[in-house]
Amino acid sequence: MRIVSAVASRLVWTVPTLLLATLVAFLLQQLIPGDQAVALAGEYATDEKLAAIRADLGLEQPVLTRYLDWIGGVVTGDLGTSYRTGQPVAEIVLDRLPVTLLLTLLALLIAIAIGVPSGVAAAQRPGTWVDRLFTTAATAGIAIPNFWLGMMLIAVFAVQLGWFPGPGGVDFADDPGNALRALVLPSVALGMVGSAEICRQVRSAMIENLGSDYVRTLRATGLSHWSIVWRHALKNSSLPLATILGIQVSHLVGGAVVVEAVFGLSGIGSLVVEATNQRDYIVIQAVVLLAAVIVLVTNLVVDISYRLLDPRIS
Amino acid sequence: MTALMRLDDVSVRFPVGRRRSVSAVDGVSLDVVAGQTLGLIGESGSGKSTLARAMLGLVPTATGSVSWMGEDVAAMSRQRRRAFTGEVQMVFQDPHSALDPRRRVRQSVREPLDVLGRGARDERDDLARRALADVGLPAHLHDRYPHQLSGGQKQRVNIARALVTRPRLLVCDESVAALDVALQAEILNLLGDLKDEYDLTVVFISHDLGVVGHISDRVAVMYLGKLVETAMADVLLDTPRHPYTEALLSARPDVNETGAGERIILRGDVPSPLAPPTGCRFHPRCLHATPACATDLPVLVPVEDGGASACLRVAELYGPGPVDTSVMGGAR
Amino acid sequence: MSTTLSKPARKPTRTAPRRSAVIWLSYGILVAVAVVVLLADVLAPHAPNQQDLTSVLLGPSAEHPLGTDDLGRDVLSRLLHGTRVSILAALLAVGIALVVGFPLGILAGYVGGWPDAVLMRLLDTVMAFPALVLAIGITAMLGPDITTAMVAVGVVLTPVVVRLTRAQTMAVAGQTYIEAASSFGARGVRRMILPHVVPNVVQPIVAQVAVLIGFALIAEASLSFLQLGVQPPTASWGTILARSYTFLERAPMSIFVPGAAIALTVFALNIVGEEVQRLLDPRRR
Ligand SMILES: Nc1ncnc2c1ncn2[C@@H]1O[C@H](COP(=O)(O)OP(=O)(O)OP(=O)(O)O)[C@@H](O)[C@H]1O
Ligand SMILES: [Mg+2]
Repeated sequence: MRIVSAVASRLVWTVPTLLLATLVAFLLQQLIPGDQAVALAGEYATDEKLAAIRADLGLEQPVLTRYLDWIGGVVTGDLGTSYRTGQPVAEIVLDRLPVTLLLTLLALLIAIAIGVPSGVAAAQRPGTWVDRLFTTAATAGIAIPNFWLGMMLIAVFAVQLGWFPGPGGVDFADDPGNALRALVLPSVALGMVGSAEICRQVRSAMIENLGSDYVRTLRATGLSHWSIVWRHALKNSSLPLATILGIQVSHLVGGAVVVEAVFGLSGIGSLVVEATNQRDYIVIQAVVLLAAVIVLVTNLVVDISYRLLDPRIS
Repeated sequence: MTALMRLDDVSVRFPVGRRRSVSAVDGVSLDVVAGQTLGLIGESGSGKSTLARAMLGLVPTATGSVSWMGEDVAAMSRQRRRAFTGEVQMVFQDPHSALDPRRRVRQSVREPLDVLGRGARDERDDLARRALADVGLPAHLHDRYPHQLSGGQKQRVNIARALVTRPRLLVCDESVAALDVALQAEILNLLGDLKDEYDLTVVFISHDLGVVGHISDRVAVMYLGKLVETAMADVLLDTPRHPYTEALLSARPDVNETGAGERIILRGDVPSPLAPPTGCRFHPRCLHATPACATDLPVLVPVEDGGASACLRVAELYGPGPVDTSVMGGAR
Repeated sequence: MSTTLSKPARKPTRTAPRRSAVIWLSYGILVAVAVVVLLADVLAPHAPNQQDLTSVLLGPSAEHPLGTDDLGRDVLSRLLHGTRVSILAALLAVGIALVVGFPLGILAGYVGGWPDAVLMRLLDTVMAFPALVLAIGITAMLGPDITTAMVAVGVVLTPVVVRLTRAQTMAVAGQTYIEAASSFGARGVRRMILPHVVPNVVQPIVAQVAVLIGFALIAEASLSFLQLGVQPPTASWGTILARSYTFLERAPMSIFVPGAAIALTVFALNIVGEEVQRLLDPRRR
């Protein structure tokens, strides 16, 4: 029963947002300056060719009709056809999606693995040099562009030391082992910024918790400091953590676009860049929408699981 | 006795969540008599501030009307409304947050003149300075920011701002509650002086019966949004005619010390105004409650000495009221 | 929120100098960046786009303090001019976000009700898109160039500004001095919003502006790196990085300086932003 109501209440929020997101993604097309057919075919295209494109894309129809057409396809998994390759967009995107998801997931794990312990450590004695060191390092971590970090990692670990493969040319289906190795540097590059953000958030949540009355009560019962920290304070900081996770996924998916470009990984990030260069508008639109769907769905899952795990939230 | 301001069956409701509302003020009828100081008293949450807001037209009324010198405030033209705004001013509960932190206090005091377009532009600064001098704020403090002043000084500024438009009615909402005792006395004395100097009618809100009894001519007692008793101040302090007023009085330390009576302790908490008790709202905490009190709605009935009480058993407990109801005068 | 600064530092005397060292360093960095933005033409030893194919990929020398790139252009000169382009681009993006977002935030926070609900719903939707992806989408549609890229970054920053402003406005709207002002008839934009709401809302936003500029700088670099922002041959931090990345194997360290310039500037902006926020905290008074 609780599961049903938890899921239902979140769905009520997510579904309209998803619908609005499809509208936003679709309306991006309206930004194309001038005639979309000309933008696609080039200025020197013949009138017949332009007319053919217009008929093909239904450009003569009102925007609303085109949106309803498109959205009707989207819910059945039909994202349209690429103007450049003639392939179904859904196929192209699905082909590229695993790399991005894997990269994002690995980066998220790295971000948590570094961010949570350092946030906890910094919160132990707020204001001391240990804390300053962590917070300053975290501020620095947030300031470093992840794609630059990626270049530096390549320069050192791939070019100079040769420990990891350099950018490009990894086929995941062919050689999964090598492919995973190729994902190490990009995941680190992507995860570092996240770890800095998580460190700061965990720190403030922990400081608040460690200063609270119930922790003082726990101390009075003679519980050891670290057991309070890990079992109680961190657990009570997990609501902000869940929120952070949702935000992180959004940041990581955005960052993946550039990091993929640096490392020559063929995920949806490099897909959107290629599509931009080729003015393959329908692919761009699909990727933008997909990114929002990934974020909304992760948020939904995080939120529901959090509600189920924590009896206090209803 | 003429009513400067007359409240007739005024209710104020605030929406709470979806489709629910709380009646912060419920059917209050009250006259503010020119030249008198009216004390308004009640526990926290009884609706005193909300009633004050209704007097100034700061909250919409759900029922009833507020009239100013016989004219319905809600029906006033824009122009009349502006004049009314200048004539009814309020000093707020918390002196610290009632002043914009980013304005010098002289600017704050001058602002009502600017907004209401009173006086010539270049005279307004002088008027503001004069008002500040009237409340006893030394000239070298006029250009300070609020955070550079003490609590008492800030409250003086608030009073100056309320007086700068030369209002006829001043509503003081717990205007001394946030100050320490010595300062309270100082500000109360200042208000007393200003009342004469500016020829003011004052509505003084407090939850401290001692303060209210000291400076008021007449007192109105509120409980959970309803008026339960009105009376002249000395009469009310001497012979309360409502069990709630009685309980309030006996809770005062000075009364208890003199051993003037058995101390009545109010049982339980104030019920939630979201779900007020049926019948008499005070019945769950009342020492004299009968089963009828839980079902019958009491109305204000005139009692001796020109007061009124909303207790079903008023005749039984406090003796019969005046035979001729037309003498109730200002105590509606 | 009440999180970061809720506990005072336990040993303020010991940590004070340490804190201020980083802060002074940050102020120094920002001043240096400002000087470069204003005086890039004077400071740069060469024209930023002047090619010399006889001296490509040189190491540091007196003539070229940071060496030359693969077209023989002076790296230092490109960096100085690139700084100006990047900073101005970031300011443009943040300026757009402020001009659009601040009034909307005041409106939503002060008026409330259904306009607020509708606006927040829309912004929630925009915020569901990863900022960089949406910026890329907008830029791709408008046609890649620095202005459209920064408009796009401005668009994705706008919801952030609206939310900050709205929260602050709601806090201010509940203050007694607002009610006091309405008690003597102050209402509307001229008598209420401008004199009372805006001045009390603006300060906390100012502290956030530094952080927003930092984000916009990284976004500019990212978009320009993807060739969606500043277009070659114009130098910016992003285009310089993109270019030097192509000859990474021959001159690995050429990527270091432009990246470090971004990181240091954003770092300084964040530190100064935090410091301004701390200084503005009314509890310090
Ligand atoms: N803006 C509002 N929205 C919802 N409920 C309100 C609002 N203002 C007041 N109330 C409710 O109305 C009731 C009366 O409040 P009011 O502030 O008038 O009491 P009060 O007698 O002035 O109390 P105090 O002595 O604490 O100042 C309370 O229950 C309060 O919660
Ligand atoms: Mg009150």
